[in-house]
Amino acid sequence: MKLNKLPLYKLELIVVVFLIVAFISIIYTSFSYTQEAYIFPVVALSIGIVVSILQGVVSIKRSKKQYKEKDPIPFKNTPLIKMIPILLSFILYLYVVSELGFFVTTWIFLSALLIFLDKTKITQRLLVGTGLTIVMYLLFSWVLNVPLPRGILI
Amino acid sequence: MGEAFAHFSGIVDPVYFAIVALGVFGGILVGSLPGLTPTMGVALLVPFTFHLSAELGLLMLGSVYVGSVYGGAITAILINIPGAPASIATMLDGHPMANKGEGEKAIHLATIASFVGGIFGVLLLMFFAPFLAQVSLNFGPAEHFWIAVFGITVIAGLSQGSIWKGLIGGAIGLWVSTIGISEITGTSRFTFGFSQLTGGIGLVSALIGLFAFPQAMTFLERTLLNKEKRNNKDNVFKKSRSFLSAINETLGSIKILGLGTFIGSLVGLIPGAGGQVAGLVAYNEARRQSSEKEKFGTGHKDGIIVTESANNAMVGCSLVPLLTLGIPGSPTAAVLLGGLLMNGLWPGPELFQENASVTYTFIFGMMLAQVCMLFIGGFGARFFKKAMYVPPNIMAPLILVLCVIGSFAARNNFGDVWSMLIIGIAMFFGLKLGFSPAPVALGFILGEYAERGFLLASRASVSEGSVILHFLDRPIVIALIILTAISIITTTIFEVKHKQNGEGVNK
Repeated sequence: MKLNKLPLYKLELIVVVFLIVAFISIIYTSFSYTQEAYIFPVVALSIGIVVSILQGVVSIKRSKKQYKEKDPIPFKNTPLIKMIPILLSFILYLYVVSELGFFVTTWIFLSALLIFLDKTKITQRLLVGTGLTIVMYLLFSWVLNVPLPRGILI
Repeated sequence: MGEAFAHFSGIVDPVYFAIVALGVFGGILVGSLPGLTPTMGVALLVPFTFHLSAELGLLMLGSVYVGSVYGGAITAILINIPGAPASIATMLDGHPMANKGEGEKAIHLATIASFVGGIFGVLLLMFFAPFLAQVSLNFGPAEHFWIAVFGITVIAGLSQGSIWKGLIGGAIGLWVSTIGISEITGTSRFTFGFSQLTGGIGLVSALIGLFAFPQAMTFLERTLLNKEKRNNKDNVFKKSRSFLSAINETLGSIKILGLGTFIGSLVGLIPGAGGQVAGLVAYNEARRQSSEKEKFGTGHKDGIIVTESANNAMVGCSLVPLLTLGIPGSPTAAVLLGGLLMNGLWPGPELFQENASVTYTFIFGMMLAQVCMLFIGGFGARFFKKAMYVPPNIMAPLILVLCVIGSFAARNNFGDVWSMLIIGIAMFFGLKLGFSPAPVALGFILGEYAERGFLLASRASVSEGSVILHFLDRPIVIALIILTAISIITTTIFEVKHKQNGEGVNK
């Protein structure tokens, strides 16, 4: 079952089932707290369960033959396979930035991603990446005194 | 009003002036870049304003809001893509006018109409807000609880598409607001063993995750699909027009200008409606009343004037329920609420008494922002045209890095960056399935407020001997319950009508 072929109503039903299970589990966890501590989240999550069921009913209605064919396929044109490496590189960047420091890691990440997204202008992209990193570092660290992640390098 | 003007001198400061001008300039840039919404611009900016004084921080946020709502019109007019959701109706006549080579005239008309609408909206804010704030002086915990409930019913209005999805998002937001140590009971809740969650999810990281990160992912998606093809049409500025003649033309349509401003103000005062609704309602009304109906959609000046005056009148008015009751009038106002809370300012009477200096400086700053918008927008149209062509393959990596800086900077906590990432990825997939980030944000912001009101009121009710009576028997509470009921009923009617129209179209 490929994500980019699933129609909206099926995806909605998957999400609704997941949410209902998640909400019930969290409500169950809540009862370990005192009454004052659990009452509000339990009410919020119960509302969540009710509206999820109602959304489920709407989605089931749309699964009927006359609507089925018109239902959009949300991930039809989403290049998920191409986006995953970018997302993984971003997660790697987050791991490394607190070890090495903001400036060096951001320069590498930004320049690499800019080049990956347009391989025809490598020198220009490298310059843009370097320029943006310098501007951001100076602006946030020096002008606005905003704390940036620090590591063994700058 | 006298008190308001006593604080006027606060804004007469070169630093404040520079911040407002910079905010408006940045806001117009954000608005004129397709895909960057005012909500996202303000969300990204919130953590950086934390390092400024409260006055400067709020001035910056307010100016970006003003600039970005106006900036959306430039893209709508020149390349037929609404730079901000509020500018959808501006495209209908703005782009056809640009196609005739009158792009400069269209931008000038939009600028002047935006200025007039914007000034009127801020004036209403100045008159209405202190009055409503006085009313809120009588509020106790039960009233605070019902205000939050009313605000939460606004969630349905904020959701674009399905009401149920909006309410699911709102419920998730309410639950997320309870993560961490409860300030009333002191219980650590839903941390699942992660010590980083003990302090709760950071408001700023949540806002950035909801509004900015998914946008960066969308830019990446479009870049990878090679979908971003914007035709750089040079002929839109073929016929050069002076700003002065545009002023005369706009003032010649004073009735239309008044109509747009009136509708925009009214929509702004209704919590949750937003600029998109203001522009479309005003456009439809102007066309309905016009004797030149057939000319609408072909580059009619009234189409631009009515829409832009409505959008910008909405800006000031959307802050009335926000500053007085803590209920945002638009998604961007919901994010601005985050900015207020970060600066230790809670909406209500205190804003106009203890923090009057900050509040009135902010309101006068909003007025100054309209003047800056008039000059920057009026004389910089050609420059902003160039800004529109910044490719998304540069914007996407830049926004990703700004998301990291913003979510880290707010609390100097890297755990917030991971929260932002998780919320952002979930919201990217949520957007694909028709979920909207605004209801989640509102649920998250109002959750804490509602829980506090509920728990304090129920503790107070113990001494009165009846929980039910304490929550239902006061006049303001009854008024709030009626308002909540009206909000639910009107939203349901709107949803049913919307569905019937949709089915009608499908048939």
